[in-house]
Amino acid sequence: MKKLIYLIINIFLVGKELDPLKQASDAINSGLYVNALAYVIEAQKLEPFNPDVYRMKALLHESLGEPKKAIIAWEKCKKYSDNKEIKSEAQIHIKNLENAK
Amino acid sequence: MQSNLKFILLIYFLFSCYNNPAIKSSYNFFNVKSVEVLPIEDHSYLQGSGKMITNSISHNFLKLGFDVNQSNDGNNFIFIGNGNKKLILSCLITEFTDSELIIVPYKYENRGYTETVLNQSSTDSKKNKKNADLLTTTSTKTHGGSITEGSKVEYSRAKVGIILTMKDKLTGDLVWSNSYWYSGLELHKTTESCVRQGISQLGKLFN
Repeated sequence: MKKLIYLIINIFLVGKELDPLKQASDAINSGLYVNALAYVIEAQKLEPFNPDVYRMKALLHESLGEPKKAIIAWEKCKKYSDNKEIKSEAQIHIKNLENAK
Repeated sequence: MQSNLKFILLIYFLFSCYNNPAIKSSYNFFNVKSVEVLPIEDHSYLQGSGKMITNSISHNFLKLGFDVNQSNDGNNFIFIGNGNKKLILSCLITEFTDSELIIVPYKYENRGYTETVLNQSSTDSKKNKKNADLLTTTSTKTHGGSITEGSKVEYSRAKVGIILTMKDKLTGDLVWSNSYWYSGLELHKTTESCVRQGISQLGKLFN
């Protein structure tokens, strides 16, 4: 019984530690943007070249009213992405955020 | 049939020249008195989306310093200058959703670990303490690590797309058009940002 409880606790703790991007998406879906941003920053440490992480981060900064940080994140998203649509999306956001300054 | 083809060609043209407005170069935008904003039809996704965009257009014109008047029949009038030309601004909502699913493939790298177990035991001879033995064993287990690839991470976002067209009220000439889209986590902010792109570009025509 003790072993089972330990296993469940371990799965819970390890699972939480393993997957910050998933935690971030869950937080976004719940509208908890500040929490989501903390998880995305964790995810960024694990995957520093993942454009999707930067896109998520940029959208969160925009929602939280942090345009300068959003521009930095969109720039990195554009830099690391090979996808034309994502690059175009990043460019639109950068232009709009710069115009709004 | 021919009119359908013309409409398709117009839409294709508008999308192909994305972010670069199509402008009738011979038109004198400094001689414009007012712009009438026609009521905007709702997008099928959300009832009231047309009204949201209309209000956002008025709001953005007001922010740029233009006078805005709302008539009883629901049309908004933007007063531009002292000219004699009147323009009609119409808007088509091409996209209006707050639940576009973003799927992010993710992977987590477990860098492994090393576990060392040290066992120490002593055999104590009661008879002769000189013969006491100390037995030490060390076992090391190395876990090589792994890369776990998850199938997807999902979150939803809003996306708004519009086509703005402006024509001369008297002659019916199309004088300006462009399309815009924007994405975000919240629908109202996304709508605002999308419309702001268009109106800030329009505002430059009259200044």
